Amino acid sequence: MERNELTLDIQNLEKTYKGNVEAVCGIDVKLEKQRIYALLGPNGAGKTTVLKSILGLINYSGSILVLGRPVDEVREMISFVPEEKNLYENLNIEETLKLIRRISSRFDENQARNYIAHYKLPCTKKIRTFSNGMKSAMYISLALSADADFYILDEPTWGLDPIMRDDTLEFIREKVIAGKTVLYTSHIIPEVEKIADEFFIMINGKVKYSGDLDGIKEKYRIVKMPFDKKELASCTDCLAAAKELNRLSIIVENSEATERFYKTDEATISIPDLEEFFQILVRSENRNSR
Amino acid sequence: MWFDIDIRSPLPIYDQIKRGVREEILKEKLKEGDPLPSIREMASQIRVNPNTVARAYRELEMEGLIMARPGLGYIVVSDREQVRDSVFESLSTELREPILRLKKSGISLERLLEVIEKIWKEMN
Repeated sequence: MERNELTLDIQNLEKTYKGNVEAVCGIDVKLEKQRIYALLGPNGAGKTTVLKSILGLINYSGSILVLGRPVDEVREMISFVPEEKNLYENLNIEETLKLIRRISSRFDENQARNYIAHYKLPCTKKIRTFSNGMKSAMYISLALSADADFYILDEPTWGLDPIMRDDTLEFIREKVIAGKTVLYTSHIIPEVEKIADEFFIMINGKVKYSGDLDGIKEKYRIVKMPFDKKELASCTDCLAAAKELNRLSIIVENSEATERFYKTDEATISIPDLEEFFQILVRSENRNSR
Repeated sequence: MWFDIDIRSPLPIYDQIKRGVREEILKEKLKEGDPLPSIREMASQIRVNPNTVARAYRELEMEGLIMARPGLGYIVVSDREQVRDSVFESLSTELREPILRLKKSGISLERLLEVIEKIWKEMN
């Protein structure tokens, strides 16, 4: 395999559901090897549709190559945690491990047992009795124990407590240190901030922003001031501008923030964190699409 | 080698790694000719992604502080004298916003310097 080959190459992906509901409107996504990517967006932005398209679970138009090939040829190189953490409810962990051992040749059972022990999951209780967090932990234990090149994780930390969530992020990071590639979605933005090399922010079926955290810290500033209609209307050249309660929040390029707002008494200028950046972008987009 | 990475810091993460390495050289914990941890080792020690460590190392190499030896990793090729000046670059990024806030509220430079001096002296 060529060294610079993209782990994922999506070109002009479009998906329209029945009744002409356009879920994804022509997006391009390129993922390089050995990085962690986060796909972010409000509910209904089209994230799960993108993941399902990558996995070939739904029809779509456009081109998707995984590890340089159509997904059907490299399916065993992908490990997937779906949004719904459905396991065989009537089995316990021991029985589940036995089943997976039988059907998968790329499964490292010892590794799985280490994760399961770390999450302190009860091995002899039926999975039906597990909480949501325990089901997530079980799913992660299995998915990260598959010897894959590309891990696709849809809300992998759903229901986990903060300690287990942090440990899970480190398990994911270990995969990337070992040379793997990860694409994941989460609603918990501080989590994304900790772990992702790059993120894609999807809103209404389009990728509105892609980049890395260091990039937004260097390139942008968030300016906040009391809400003012005229000021909002004049924000035509900024990345995003939104009303947040009685406040006007704007994302502008660093140099422009200096010129335009440093002298305004009521304006505060701060270096963006991902949570704020995401919120202003989404609110701004909602305002524009109304 | 270990240093703390603060995701919320105004300083980009790769810059914090660069600063960490510089400070090790300043403290003479890293001397000319010493090897740096590999990208993987550094990534798991300070809990950042290898891609970010690689970027920091690349930039430190361009600045002439470290050098890659093919197949062997990076070694330090500078001493504390050479590193001293570059420390101030990241410092000004970090101080920019708080100083601006003070300036806007009408605090004079003299007053600010007095505060710095006071803090400095308290540390002795």
